[in-house]
Amino acid sequence: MKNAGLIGVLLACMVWAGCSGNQTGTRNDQALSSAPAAASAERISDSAGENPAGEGAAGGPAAPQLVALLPADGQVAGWTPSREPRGFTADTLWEEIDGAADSYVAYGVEDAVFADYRQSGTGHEAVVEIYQMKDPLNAFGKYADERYPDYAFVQVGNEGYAAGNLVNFWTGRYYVKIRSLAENDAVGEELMKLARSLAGKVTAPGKEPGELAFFPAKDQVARSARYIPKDVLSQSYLTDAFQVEYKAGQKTSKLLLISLASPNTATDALTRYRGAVARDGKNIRTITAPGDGGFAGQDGFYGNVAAVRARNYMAVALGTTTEDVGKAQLAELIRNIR
Amino acid sequence: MSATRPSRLTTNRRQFLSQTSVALASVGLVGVPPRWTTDPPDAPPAAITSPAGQRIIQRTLGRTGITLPVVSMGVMNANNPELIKQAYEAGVRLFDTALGYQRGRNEQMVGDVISRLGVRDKVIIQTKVPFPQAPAGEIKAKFLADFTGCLERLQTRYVDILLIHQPSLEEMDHPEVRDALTELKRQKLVRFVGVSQHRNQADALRNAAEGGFYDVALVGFNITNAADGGFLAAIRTAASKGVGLIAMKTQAGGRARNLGTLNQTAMLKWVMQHPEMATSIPGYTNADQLAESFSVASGLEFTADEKAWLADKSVLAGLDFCKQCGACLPTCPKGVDIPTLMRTHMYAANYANFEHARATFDEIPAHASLGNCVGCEQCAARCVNNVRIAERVADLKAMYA
Repeated sequence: MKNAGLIGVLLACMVWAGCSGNQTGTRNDQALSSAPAAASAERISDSAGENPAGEGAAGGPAAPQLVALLPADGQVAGWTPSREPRGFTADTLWEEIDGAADSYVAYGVEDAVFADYRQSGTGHEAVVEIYQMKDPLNAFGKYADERYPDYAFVQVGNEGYAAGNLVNFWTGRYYVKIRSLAENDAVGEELMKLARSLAGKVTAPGKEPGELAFFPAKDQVARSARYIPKDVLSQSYLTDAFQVEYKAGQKTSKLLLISLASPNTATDALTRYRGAVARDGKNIRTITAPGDGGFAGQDGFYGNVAAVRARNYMAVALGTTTEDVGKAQLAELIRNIR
Repeated sequence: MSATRPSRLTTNRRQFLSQTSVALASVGLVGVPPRWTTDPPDAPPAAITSPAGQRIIQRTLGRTGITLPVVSMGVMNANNPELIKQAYEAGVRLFDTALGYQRGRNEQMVGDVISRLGVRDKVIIQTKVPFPQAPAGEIKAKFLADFTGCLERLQTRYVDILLIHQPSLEEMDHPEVRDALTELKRQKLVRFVGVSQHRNQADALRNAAEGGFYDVALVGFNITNAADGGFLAAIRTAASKGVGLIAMKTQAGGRARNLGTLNQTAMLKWVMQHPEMATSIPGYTNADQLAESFSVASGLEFTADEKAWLADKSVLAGLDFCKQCGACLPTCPKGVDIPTLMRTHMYAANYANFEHARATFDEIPAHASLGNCVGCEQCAARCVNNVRIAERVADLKAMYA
């Protein structure tokens, strides 16, 4: 029926002119009905993260600057491209990695390339993924979003980690992921050769965000730092945050530094966040320091919480062993900013 | 540099291993019964009441008998454990994660929150393990080993629903994986098994419906599937055979596809107005999105605004448009220039610009023209964006006959 409707409209307009083209009703019927169609249109989108076989979407032409980073044919330890590189943009990345694209978009992905390689001799197969983010901060952010403090870190690019069948690292504006279908030590070494070749082509590798130096060093969990561009603490109004984890005895906690547009915006954000915490928090009360003050108490998940404002920043300590520990961390953090 | 995870997890891991070591050993086919401190529940979780006192629409997940609110949580992109807690408190009971999400960190976060809240017996944990890339004969062991990691990260003795992540039809039927899943169910490490599928969804549903092996299917389902008769028929068949159906991609990839302002509740309601779907797993990353999504569980009727949004033809064009990516080209055995044909169709059907449609049509060289589209029993061309290629080609044939 739907087909008949659309065809009818089209046939009626076969004179190629003078048709008002009022197909609104027809189009709505398509979307709102579940009438059988002439043929199915199954999704064939794919996800690298969800499909270890790497059978990705066809993609489009790869961005030249990303292609230039890819190892050329035979340039590195016999690795040879086995398929044309597939290019994606922020709008099309979901075709390759499906819902995982949301996170890359949040970190400002601009272009991505997926390239398949095969190594002569060994027969190893690898997929090289390069994500070009809008700046080094977001490249670090996406990389850190996927790292664990207890990974085996390697010196490639700014920082990377390796497991049996993958090497992930970030350098400059790029987050690079290289993975193999096989999992053994031998392939890991071969993947590292690809990684080092690629990292060597990035002339401006950048460095970790300077804000991380503001965080107190005592009890800091190494390589736990993250950059969170949006939805910080599940609050849509909190963006641009750095987060570091701490461990004291058996207790872990978090310290966050959130950058707002202005002191007034920071004050408003702090007020809204206090309201969110107070919904199931206990003993929530105003504190006047450190910084320009804020509130402290216990929230329903982390336990001790303290949040303050300093200039256009909001700083939050979550889950510390005592409230005083949290306030001391906040005080040091704010001192370091100044 | 420290090389340890937070101690709480370490402790939990130790406790976990101690409590379940016999069970895991038995999965290694020793055949020793697991030493449960508590068994997985035979009955579904208790009825849910919203903290705000609203009605929560619940449905039964096929033959599993599990009753769930029509809105659940796809945890994949959530970066804050508190959001999972907030979702639970709002009434969400099924949490969907996967081994592959954030390389296990996502599972760890889900397990951490549920453990802290002490609500394991009140929630449904659904996770996914991909078909192992391992030589024949080692596939079962690899699958079991991967699943063991899931249990550890989730800090649980059992998973309610274990899905094979994106298997091919052959992989769905693979005896080693089926053995593994059967063994896990027998050992009560998994309550129900299923598949998560993005591609060949109709075939996967038919397989699940006919085979009777899989209890649950997680499928991408949204407004762009409205006219996909084959898929809709497969959904109805699977549901009628007792396969529990869960909808993902309910927003049609909207946030990632940059489709502009989407009416999230309208799209989610549209999905759940299909009674075959027991629940849905929209992804949300902040409290506002959680509230927006879960509001749908209180009423599936469209509001006037939602109706107006759905009636906007530009919305539908945006959701079902050819982006000229060319991914369909290799799927047509006749080498027809499908992207240009789709552009032709768009100019004619969406913009009523028939002159431009004709000019576009005439750009196509003879060897890739519509005239070559003959001889196939069923159109093999496929679009990653769900554009209904065959249907549009049929329209064009009617136009240019």
